[in-house]
Amino acid sequence: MTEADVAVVVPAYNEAPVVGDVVRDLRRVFANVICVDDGSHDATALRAEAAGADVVRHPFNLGAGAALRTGIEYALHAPATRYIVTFDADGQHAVDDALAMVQVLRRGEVDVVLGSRFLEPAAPIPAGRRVLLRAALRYSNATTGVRLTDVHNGLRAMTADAARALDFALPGMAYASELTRLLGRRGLRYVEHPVTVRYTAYSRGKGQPAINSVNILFDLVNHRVFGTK
Amino acid sequence: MLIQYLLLACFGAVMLGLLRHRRSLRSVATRRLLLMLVTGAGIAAVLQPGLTTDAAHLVGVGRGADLVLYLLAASSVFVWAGTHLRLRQYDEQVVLLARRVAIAEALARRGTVTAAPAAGPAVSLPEPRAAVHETARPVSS
Repeated sequence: MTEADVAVVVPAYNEAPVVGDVVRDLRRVFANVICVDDGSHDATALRAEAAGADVVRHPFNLGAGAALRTGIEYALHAPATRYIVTFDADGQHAVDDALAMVQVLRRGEVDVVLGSRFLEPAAPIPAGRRVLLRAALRYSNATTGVRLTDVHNGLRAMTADAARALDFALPGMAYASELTRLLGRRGLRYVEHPVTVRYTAYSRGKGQPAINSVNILFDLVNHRVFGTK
Repeated sequence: MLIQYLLLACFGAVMLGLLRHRRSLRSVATRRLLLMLVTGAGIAAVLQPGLTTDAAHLVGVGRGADLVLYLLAASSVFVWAGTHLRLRQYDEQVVLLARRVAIAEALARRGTVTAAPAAGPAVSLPEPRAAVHETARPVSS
């Protein structure tokens, strides 16, 4: 099964220890894996390319949102791309979930499928992170008009047209909130899909530090007051 | 006092400018005219020290030095606002430019992006841009 009309975008920043395995895992199912190296200082790009990914390298670090946009734009260059999946490079996501989400898309009833850790009650998430995510969620639901259970989940699937419509511009981690707002603004049909997230010692160490929520909030407010959209 | 209205009008103009900024020939010309006005006034004040006191009394301020201070504060806000806007514009442009470069390089390395699977690791790897270290330090992104 090659899912030849699907492009999987994997934004990566300093993920050399695991990116090779992640790409190889994906390539068992998906033929087109695009790894966006967001200015890594390690062997991320080399490992990803050796594992069979199409690598796009930012000349310097721009942020998760920018890396995602670059990957999506690159994917849309190929006329054969009908679906795009975004997938984290740190090994937290499951390829089976991505495949299931693409199959939901193929049914044609929705334009965007969003992975959620909170749809199934038994999702094992570190307590501190859960509290922070819940607070961010309440803010997002209140301000975007789009009710989701998991806004900051990097596993998403969308049609090529939806990807074109979701033209978020924030380069940092706050892109997720902008994307959520655009879901409502662009009138896209979306659904959430339960996904499992593996919190390994590696990914826990790399995750967003809690203090970064200050930066995310600042970016969001800045964008809303001074932004162009 | 008159000075209060003038200063408030100043700050109001800055806020309006922040909300609806368009880099145009007109804004560049306006800034240049203001600059010439300010330097002209500065020269006049240096040559005729009594001028600042007279101007201060005109707008309800006690001392010339106080007026100069108020004007300095007001103009600083303009300068910082303009700088902030320009930096933000540069930030956005840098992202777009870096993206263009990254995609162009990737397309050039592989020809056009096709739906067929890549030929595996039998691709000549590009020269690393900076020194690539084999040991990865866990850095939160």
